[in-house]
Amino acid sequence: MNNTYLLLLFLAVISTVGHVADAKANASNSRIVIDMANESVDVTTGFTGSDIVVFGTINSKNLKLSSDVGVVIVLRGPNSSVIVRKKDQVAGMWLNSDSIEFRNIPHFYDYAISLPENQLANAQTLIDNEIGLNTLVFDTEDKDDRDDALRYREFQEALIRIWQQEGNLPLGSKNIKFIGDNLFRADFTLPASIPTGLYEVQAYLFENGKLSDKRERILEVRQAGLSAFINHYAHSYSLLYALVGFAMAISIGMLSAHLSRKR
Amino acid sequence: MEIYLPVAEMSVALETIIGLGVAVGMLSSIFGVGGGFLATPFLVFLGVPASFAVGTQAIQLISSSLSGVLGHWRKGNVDFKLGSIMLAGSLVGTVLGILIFKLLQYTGQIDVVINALYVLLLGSIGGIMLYESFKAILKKNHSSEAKRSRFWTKITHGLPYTMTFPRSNLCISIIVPIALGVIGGLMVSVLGIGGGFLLVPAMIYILGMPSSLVIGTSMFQILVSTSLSALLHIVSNNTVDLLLALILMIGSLIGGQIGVRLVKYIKGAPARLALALILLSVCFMLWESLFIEPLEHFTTEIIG
Repeated sequence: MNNTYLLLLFLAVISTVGHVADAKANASNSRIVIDMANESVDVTTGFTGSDIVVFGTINSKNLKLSSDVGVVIVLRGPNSSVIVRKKDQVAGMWLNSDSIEFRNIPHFYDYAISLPENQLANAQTLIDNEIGLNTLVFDTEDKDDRDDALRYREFQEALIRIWQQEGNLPLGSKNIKFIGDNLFRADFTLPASIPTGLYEVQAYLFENGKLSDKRERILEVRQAGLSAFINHYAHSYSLLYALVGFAMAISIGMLSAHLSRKR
Repeated sequence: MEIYLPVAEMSVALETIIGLGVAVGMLSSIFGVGGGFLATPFLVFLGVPASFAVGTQAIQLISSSLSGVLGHWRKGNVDFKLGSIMLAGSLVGTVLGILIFKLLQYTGQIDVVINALYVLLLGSIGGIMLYESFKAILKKNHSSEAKRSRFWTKITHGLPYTMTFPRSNLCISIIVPIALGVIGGLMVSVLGIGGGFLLVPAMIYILGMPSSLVIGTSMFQILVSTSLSALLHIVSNNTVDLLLALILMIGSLIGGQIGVRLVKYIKGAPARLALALILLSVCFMLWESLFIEPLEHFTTEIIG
């Protein structure tokens, strides 16, 4: 924990300096500035998940941090297509009988807010910016799937429920912690089984229920070290990868036969 | 300790995987079975996708069958001629199995089908073995040599393309060993098991091979077909995680050495009884997942 506090102190200084520089560069445009403790997350063979700390400042010389200012940080993973299957009993066995394919679902989504959702902005604004779990768009290619609203909703709820258990979707919003008047931080946790790819870190500033500024940063989640090396060879040089696998299996098999022979 | 599998892109507990490898190694050195029937369902149970469990097992099977073949070859207990005939069938079965696997993956039924086949195989083999070992224990005739059954002699009699196999002292139609090979190949590529526990009794009862030659010969045939299966799983599906395979193989190397030291205490009918009980308990575990209503009726799969 000590490290986190040190980091935070460091960030507080850096971010204020950075913010001034940023503000100068962008004139008066930028009202919210964010940065992450790390620009990327390395998924190595020992990866057990990672904490993502997003910190930022709001340019609020004439604003008081009260109910008229809301800050939202969204952490959003790469989009995937997902097949949700439903098991039904057929001749005594539980078989996959029905399925819906959802398209462009963020494989990870989490968000932190400084005000309750209904005080941030009106519902439409939240939907437009996809802020909040129930604003995510569940799209599908099959028109029949969309027409049967009850069934569609059942599958959608199942997907959310399962991904919440796996830690890919949040149970609810996280809180943004303010340190002083305009420095804030939001803490997220990536589970061990997250997909690799480019994650978006989006920051929204709402003033009096209106979106007044939006920033976006990219967080790269990538395999690194031995893990990346193995994955790269598995996909790019699969024949070589197979030969390495054979060599491994043959040497262990021969070693095992040799050890058994001594008995 | 959690370890991240780079190709399956998930993390698993290292101790559990090593423990699984040790168990597989002990099974194969004590009972002469590959142990794939234990490893594949358990990997699926741990959350490894069925495709990765089967693909990765193919590599692990290479090492276990190779060490088996080397041991039996040294004692002259491999009939290479009969093994090669079976191999012709099993290579066909392997390729066919890979195609079936892809089809099942596409329809989303792969996990269910693998489960159901395991229940069927383990249940029937385990049941027969349980019955047989009980009978042997009660009669106390440990030394009875298994013979070719009359039923199969009648059925396979008169089939064309007969060939002599001097090593096994047999003159039989090659159609039967080829058919057995096809079944073996299908098991390797669809179920991720060598299928020794099915092939070994089949070679004794259906082909009438001497039981001293059976294990070595079936392992020779498994070695080649599992190599092909591993290659195809890697090249066409990318569903082999070598880190997972390596951990399993190291565990099974350790387990194999423990097994070799234990084997003199475990013999004959009681050993077959123990194996039967292991087969039936894995069968029961899988049966449950197939027939008991699951808590969560839905599953998700990322398709890209």
